[in-house]
Amino acid sequence: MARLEGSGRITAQAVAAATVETLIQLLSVANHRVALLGYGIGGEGTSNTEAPGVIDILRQSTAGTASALTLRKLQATISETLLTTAQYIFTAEPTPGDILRTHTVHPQAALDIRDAFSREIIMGGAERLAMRATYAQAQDLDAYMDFEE
Amino acid sequence: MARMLGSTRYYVGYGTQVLRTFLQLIAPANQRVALIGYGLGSGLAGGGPPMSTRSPVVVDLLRQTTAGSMSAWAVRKYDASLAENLQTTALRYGVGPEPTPGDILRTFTVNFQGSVFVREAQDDEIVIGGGGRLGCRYMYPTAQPSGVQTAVTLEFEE
Repeated sequence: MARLEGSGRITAQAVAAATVETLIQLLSVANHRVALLGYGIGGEGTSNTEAPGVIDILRQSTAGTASALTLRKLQATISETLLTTAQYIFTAEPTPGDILRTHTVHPQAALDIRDAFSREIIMGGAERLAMRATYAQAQDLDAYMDFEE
Repeated sequence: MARMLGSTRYYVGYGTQVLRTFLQLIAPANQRVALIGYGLGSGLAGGGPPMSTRSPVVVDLLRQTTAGSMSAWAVRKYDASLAENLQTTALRYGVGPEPTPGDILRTFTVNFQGSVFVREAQDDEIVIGGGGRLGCRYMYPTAQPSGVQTAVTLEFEE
């Protein structure tokens, strides 16, 4: 990890009711560790009576079926290219692994988590780390994951 | 403590008006463990919607001296590539007797439609002594409908 920080974000991502759906999956490259610096998620709900959703931060062992998500450098003037890749809009869920954190987030609320230096979740080389959501009702969600490689 | 970080999390349906411990960390003998973060929130896996007028959940972080009726539960490394195994263990929710309570270190409330996730500054954490136990328990002020689920995460460094 050499201070090359990046971010992947999604906006107004529709999730179906009562369905476990991965929102963003990060994939590190071989022999290159990645630290999860932080992440956030918020809903675009319009009703205060809708149920909070369950958000997991978890390891995954497969790609599932998804579209490539463009990642951005947090400091664009750095000339090196991010090696980490990401996916979103999953039509087939990846195989889940260890669930490291579980949150709940109301559809009209947001959660933003920053991990302290040296206390981040670490992805080993060629590993996958994801954020997934389950809401009782269909929702549009915004989310991001920041990382350092 | 040598930079070995891990977490345990549990997601369970529970809505009755009874104090219940959802997760308990147990430090290994002769080894201190720091609680570096914790989170709790309620959601709904099914059934009707929660009501925005319901009273918040009351949450305690407390020391405990027994296991009660809790069951063994997994802890996970934050860096899975580390060769060493976590020595800290965890227990999760059980329906029988509660663990014996000790000092209550923090009490806070969480709105039924909200959640909380707290990160501790380095060297300001709650520390579990060797062989000690730390629990996260909560109680709904009023009974909740079936289908209410609560998520709890405890993060630690050993």
